[in-house]
Amino acid sequence: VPHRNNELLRRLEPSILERITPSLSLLRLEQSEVLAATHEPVHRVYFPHSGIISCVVELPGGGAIETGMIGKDGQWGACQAMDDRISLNHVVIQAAGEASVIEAGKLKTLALELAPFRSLLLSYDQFFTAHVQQTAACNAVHDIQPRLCKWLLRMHDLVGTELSLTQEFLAEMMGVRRTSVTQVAATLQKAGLINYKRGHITIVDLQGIQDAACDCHGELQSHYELLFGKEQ
Amino acid sequence: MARFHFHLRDGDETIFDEEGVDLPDLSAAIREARLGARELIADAVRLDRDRVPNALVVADQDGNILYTLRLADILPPWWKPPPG
Repeated sequence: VPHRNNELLRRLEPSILERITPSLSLLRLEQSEVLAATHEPVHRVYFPHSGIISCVVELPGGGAIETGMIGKDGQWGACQAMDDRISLNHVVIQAAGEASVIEAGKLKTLALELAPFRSLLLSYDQFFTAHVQQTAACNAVHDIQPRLCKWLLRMHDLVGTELSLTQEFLAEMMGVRRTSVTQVAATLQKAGLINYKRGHITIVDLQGIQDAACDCHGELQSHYELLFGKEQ
Repeated sequence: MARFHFHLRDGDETIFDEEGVDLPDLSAAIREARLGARELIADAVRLDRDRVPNALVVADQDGNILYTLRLADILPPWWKPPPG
């Protein structure tokens, strides 16, 4: 069943997933596609199989900072759908991929009917809140280099060792000037941890990146395991 | 819009900005260079870095240098080294 490519859906009992499956469809998510604009109603809920959904805060002077990253281990939109609500931030596809998608009203009905499904979605919402809190703390106290490494680790979890990323984009997502990214990327490349070529980063030494990153990524992984158990 | 590259000069070594960024004009590029330089200085001071680039070089796509910003130039006036 393709829907099991999403790690949350995979954690549902087969009988529960069977009840949901008729309402799920597969959808291709294209890079830069906007899933929800700030204060717009949420029509669909996304359970990615691949790619990255990025929640960003738009800044008054232009630009945006990323505060949350969702991939195959998560979902976006369930809480808003359960409450017939709007999106409070801007949600955009950062890396193209596929997702299982369900219409918001159907998700609400199914979540009310099926306690294990509801519980899974609520657990994920707790995790996502923790993720955003961790990001806030990380942005406030950690330096650019460990933060960039943490970011690469998360990207590695979701898309692998080959990352299509411009420095401009990285800088914007991290809320730093592009020149700082140029400097850090050069340092990491010199240390043999990454290979950087115009808009393309290859992770060469994953252990090295882990050592250079702040602890935030590991913290979140342990939260996730606590709520959902080890990878299935 | 034009493509501007911001190379970091660190003594006799240069970190090349291969990628560059699109900006409306040179004055926007200079503004960006100043913002970038401020962040580099702030970080260097905060982290007690022993190596900090000493200049940001703004270049066009063909590698022509359009502007050089010495990091010392954006220090508060009373911190600036004497000219020369």
